[in-house]
Amino acid sequence: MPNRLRTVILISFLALLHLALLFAGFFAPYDFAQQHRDLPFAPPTRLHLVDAAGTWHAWPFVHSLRANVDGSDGYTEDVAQAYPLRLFVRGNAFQIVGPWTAHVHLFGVASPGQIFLFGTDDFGRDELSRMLFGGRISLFAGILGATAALSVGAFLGVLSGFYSGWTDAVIMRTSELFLALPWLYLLFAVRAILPLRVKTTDAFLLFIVVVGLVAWARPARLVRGIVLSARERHFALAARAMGASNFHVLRYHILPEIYVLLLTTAALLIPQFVLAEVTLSFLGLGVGEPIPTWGNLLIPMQKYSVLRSYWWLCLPAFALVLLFLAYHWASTTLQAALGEVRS
Amino acid sequence: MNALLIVDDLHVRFSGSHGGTVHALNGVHLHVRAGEVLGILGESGSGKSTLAKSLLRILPKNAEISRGAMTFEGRNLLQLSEREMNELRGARLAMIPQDPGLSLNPVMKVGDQITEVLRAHCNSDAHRRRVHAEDILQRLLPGNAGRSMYEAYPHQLSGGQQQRVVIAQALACEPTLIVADEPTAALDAATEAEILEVFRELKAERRRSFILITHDPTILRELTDRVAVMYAGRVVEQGPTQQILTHPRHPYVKGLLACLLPQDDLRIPGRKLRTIAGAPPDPRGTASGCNFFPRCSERIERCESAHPGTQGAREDSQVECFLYE
Repeated sequence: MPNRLRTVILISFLALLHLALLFAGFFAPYDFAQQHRDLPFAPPTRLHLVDAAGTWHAWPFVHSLRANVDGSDGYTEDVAQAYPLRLFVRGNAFQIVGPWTAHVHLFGVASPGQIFLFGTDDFGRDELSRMLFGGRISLFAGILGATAALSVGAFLGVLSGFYSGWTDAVIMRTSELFLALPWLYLLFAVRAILPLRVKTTDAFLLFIVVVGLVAWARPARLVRGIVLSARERHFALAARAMGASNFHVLRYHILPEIYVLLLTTAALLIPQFVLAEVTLSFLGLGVGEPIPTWGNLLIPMQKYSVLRSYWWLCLPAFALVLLFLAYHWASTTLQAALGEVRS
Repeated sequence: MNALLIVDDLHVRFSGSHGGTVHALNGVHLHVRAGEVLGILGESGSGKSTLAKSLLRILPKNAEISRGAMTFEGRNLLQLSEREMNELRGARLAMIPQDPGLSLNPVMKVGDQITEVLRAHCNSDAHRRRVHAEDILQRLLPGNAGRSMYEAYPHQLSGGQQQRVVIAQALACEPTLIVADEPTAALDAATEAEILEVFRELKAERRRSFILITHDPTILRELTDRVAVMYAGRVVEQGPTQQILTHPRHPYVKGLLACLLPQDDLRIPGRKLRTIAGAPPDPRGTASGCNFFPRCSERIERCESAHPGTQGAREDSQVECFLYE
């Protein structure tokens, strides 16, 4: 069934992406702040299978880079030295979760060889490593923001739909107020009253709290609608006729109806919030250097010279597009599933 | 009178969204004895379902029980708190809803929906609940279908099976009174016969009372001990089933039974069925006289201005008509 196959591909891609970003330290060959001062703006390292003598190798290897001897901009490969690609190499220590650290990276090359699959930036920092670490912040800002918004939204929506009356009126009028607020600009405003430099964790938490406080309105209204209709279903009435308490009816007969909606809404909200974080950081208001996010990784693209000469610094933008497409696809798939459940 | 349930002068009204008030029940009197099956007969809109929902106090929010009393097992249901009512619902007083397909949660296994009732009211452990639920299903289903049905979802069952599951839910806690609101309305004729057979067996046990609501007089004959006929929110006549069906007294009941198709009618081509002229009154208005007056073939002058109230009360039977003063 091609439909099923597509779903499997989609889910594996999303799972892989999230794992790669969550365990960025393992997948990234270098630390995000490690500078290679002698190799700024190095192009992506090429993986070779054929050496200078024309012999084929079974395993890819890389050459190290040298600045052009004629003094022109750019690098040439030093073909005299070959460094085979190695898997599970020991490298810089990185944090997994909290105090747990590890040294093993998915791939790397033996020193003094270097591997920059996505090139380096102006400080000679590995772009791939920065993208992985940066994606972790951007994506999880989106996911946690969506979780916050959906939890608040689902809670208030259920309250509103189930108890109706004045509870409903108060929550819905408040939600209209928040719907009228352009939340991205609210985020700017809140950011503006804080000092320019805030700690990364503070900036991150601030983002999630503001998003959760403001973006609950739309999911709350959707949830309310579903609860309102579920409440009137015959089986909810039948459960009441069997002596089920309000809580029981809510938990077993109404809440299952909103799960798919929450999933679909999450798939819509996550990229939206990722974009919000990216926008803030792109404008220098979010997480700041040296910690990367997909937003501040895009800052070099403001320069014409970068766009013209160092195309690999545009890769974070493509990563964003890929992420958005995957999420959009996921939400469409979920929507279709929701439709099937409905009918 | 040693009755399980006494409904006395029950009034229920719905406030419409546009200010109009719908008077769904206008003074219903009836009683149910232990082990007895009371049939409630009436056309659509006569207040049958409102009565059923009032008994369980599961009326929608815009409904109000404005007057009357419902005494069940010696307690006035209208004075119980919501919590006390919840302990009663499903345990002592259960309901078999109209449409089993809609009344079962589509995403829960039917077995779980039966044990759900047990979980709400009995403190037995999960295993005992399951055994109990399977026993009930087993009893209601021919062959060995009961056990396999436990794991099924409602959409995998036929209408008749769904109806049995809903009946099993109602029976689960051995209530003393079960209100069955048109239990066969959503079923085809063959399945209806099967379900009626289930009711026949339950009636024969005489372990619990039933209120069997229907708009079909034919199913009353075998299944009920007494019948109350409702018209425009009132019980116009009630009495033993045999007496109501063979010697109705109220003009409406006479007319209603005359609409039935006797067996020999089928052999006379072209013979027209009888109907009652006119339509039921608008429930938004309150008539001062008898509700049936405009359609009545035996009306007298007083009917327009005064309501007859209960007249001609013989032992165990009442009729609301001046003709029997």
